Amino acid sequence: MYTAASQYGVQPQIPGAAAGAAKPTFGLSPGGPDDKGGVAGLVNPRNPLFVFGVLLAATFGLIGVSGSARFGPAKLAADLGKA
Amino acid sequence: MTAVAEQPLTLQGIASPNVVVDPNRFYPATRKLTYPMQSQKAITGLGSSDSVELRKTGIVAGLLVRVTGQLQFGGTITGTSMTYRFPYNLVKACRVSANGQSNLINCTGQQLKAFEFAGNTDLSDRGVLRSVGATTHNQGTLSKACENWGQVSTNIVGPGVTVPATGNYDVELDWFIPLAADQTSLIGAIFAQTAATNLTLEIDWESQANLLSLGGSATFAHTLQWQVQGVVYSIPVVDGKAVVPDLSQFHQIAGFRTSALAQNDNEILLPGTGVGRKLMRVIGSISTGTAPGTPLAVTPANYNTMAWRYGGNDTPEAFASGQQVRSRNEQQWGCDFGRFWGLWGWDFVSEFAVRDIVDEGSVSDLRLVVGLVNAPTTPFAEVAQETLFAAPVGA
Repeated sequence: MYTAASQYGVQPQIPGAAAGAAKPTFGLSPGGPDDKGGVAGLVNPRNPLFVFGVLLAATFGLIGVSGSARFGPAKLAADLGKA
Repeated sequence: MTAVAEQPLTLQGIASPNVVVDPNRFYPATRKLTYPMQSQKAITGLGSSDSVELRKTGIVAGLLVRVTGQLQFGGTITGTSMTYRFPYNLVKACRVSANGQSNLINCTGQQLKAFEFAGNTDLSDRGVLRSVGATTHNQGTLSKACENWGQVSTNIVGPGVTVPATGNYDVELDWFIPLAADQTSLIGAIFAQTAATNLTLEIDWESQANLLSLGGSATFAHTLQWQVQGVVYSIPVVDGKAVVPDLSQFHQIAGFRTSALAQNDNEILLPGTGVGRKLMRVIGSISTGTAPGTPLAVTPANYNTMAWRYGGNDTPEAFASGQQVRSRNEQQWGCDFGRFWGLWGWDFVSEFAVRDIVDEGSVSDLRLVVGLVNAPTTPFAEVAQETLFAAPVGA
């Protein structure tokens, strides 16, 4: 049935928004139901800033990441930073 | 179990308890109502204003304004003629304010006529005989057959017409004010069902001096009256709830005037553009010469480059000649706007609005490019934008 979105491609309105309220012209975040804001969003593994922070910390030795795997007699190990 | 009060819906800034937005249920259940919002009464006077507070009921989709009466010429008529402000710019400015949004409609009567034809291609002025200048024409006048630009016996008047004789010329004119952007879906219509609603129509009548040039020994009086009819849709109750269509958008027609025009390309910046607005149509005209001016016909002799532009130099659509714009406008609107009234425009909704409508949030410095072949004499442009923008909370 007719809606402003279906007829004119107008974005559905958010309750509480003021008339002519500024909306981003282009989407800057992936959005979605699991999109978190605040501290939770900052430490979300999906946040590229979080991944970048972990790599940066490991590079400068603030944290360490290590792992190992054994397949019979063979052992594979790797570490980054001060593990 | 704790009872939780249901939060009232806010429509166009008006708290509306027990109302739900449900277009699927609204359309089959509503009823169209057309009734007087102001009974017929004399206009205050040429050069003056009239205003009326409209009835607060239902969902208001449009207003029909009718002007009727006589133009009474006496004395010695020699040297008396009508200007090109007559007849449709008798409504010098039409302003509608609703639900805290001032000037949802703010344009001239001529522009209202143009938008009426653009928005309803079932309308046609073809075959309607009207006098423009020295001759009679049967298309491009924006007149409906039921209208009368002024007639007594076989004498008729019209824009640019020399008044042939004294007498009382009957006049019958009408304008449609589209509060909804679309009269089918009612997108942009006004929610008017509560006492908190504010809905006002104000009309400025053009001055006598701008409507006609009176010969030295001629006299003029008029008996013009006006009335307003509302096109309203009832708010039906379905399963115990009042249901309304999508009222999330306001529909605006806002005109402006500029005289900053010169030979060759002019870039006319559209004011008031911004994020959250969608441009549906823009219609303009240029008048030149002795006040109140004569419309510049949209011909290759008068216009060259016509385009719309944004940003640095992004020009999505451009024509090399005004004739091409006139042809394109006639294709889209079924009316030769440019012939006498000098109207040209860009239409972004008549073919496929979702695809073509201009999101003003992504086109900074939106402007019209208007190329004038010759250096104009005392020119001015009258331009009106038709837009949709977010109502304060809707569907």
